[in-house]
Amino acid sequence: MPPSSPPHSLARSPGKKRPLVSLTPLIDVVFILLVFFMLVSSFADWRTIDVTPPLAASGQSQGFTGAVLIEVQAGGQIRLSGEILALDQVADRLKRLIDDAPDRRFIVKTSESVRLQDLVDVLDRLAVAGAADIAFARAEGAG
Amino acid sequence: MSLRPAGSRKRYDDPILPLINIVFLLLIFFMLAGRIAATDPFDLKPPQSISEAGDDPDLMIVQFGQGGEVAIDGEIIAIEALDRALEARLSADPPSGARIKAHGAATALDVIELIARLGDAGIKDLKLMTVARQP
Repeated sequence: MPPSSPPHSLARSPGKKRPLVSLTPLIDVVFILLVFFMLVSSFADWRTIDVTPPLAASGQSQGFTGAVLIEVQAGGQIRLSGEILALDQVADRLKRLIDDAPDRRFIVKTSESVRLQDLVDVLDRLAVAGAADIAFARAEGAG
Repeated sequence: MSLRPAGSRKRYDDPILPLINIVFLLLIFFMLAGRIAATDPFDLKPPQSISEAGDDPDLMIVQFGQGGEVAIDGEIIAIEALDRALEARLSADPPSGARIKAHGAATALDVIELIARLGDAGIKDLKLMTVARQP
């Protein structure tokens, strides 16, 4: 049988002939897979900051001697050795402190209303300044 | 064996082939570029940081929500039950460390308290998860 003249009974409507294997189910499945991967995959660029468990809030342990206390306050203010500074001013001061003593310990203490983002901003400044030994002060009255 | 003229299939498929090509490309892109990660049990927008250190997906993950919700590896636990849950977890399979994925707007003192309790439970290597700072 010449391929150019199929039997009339097998051919559908003459203008709209369908192929032997329809692509439509394949496209459906591929679309579903695409939607699945679009929804499930995450493109977040994850980073980490190493943290060490905090010291006890009270009691003069040996760890405190020679350490610099950084108090993070609400609104992005920082109290560094008694002086209240904005976040931008703190970098130079930290750099000088670290140039003085490279292995200086920093104790980061946060007040009640400080959000984690503010604390992370301060940790970033410390890391940029080159601080290696950062400890957190635990909340008063806790554990 | 086709019973239809050779030209008919070509005519039918032609208009959608570019579409399928693009959908396939998109599919391959999302399969390769994206990382399938378990979703968090509550809303978590981690803090932004300029830290360079990369993520370690093998460590167990402790999630901490804005309102003080805690979950270990996606399983919500009451804050009072945290010590017990950690103990059970550590005795079963001592993890080398833990990642803390906390909401950026969570109270910093609460997060420090969580870090302290993880430290008390005997987990040495603690990492605070952040995302890259948006320009």
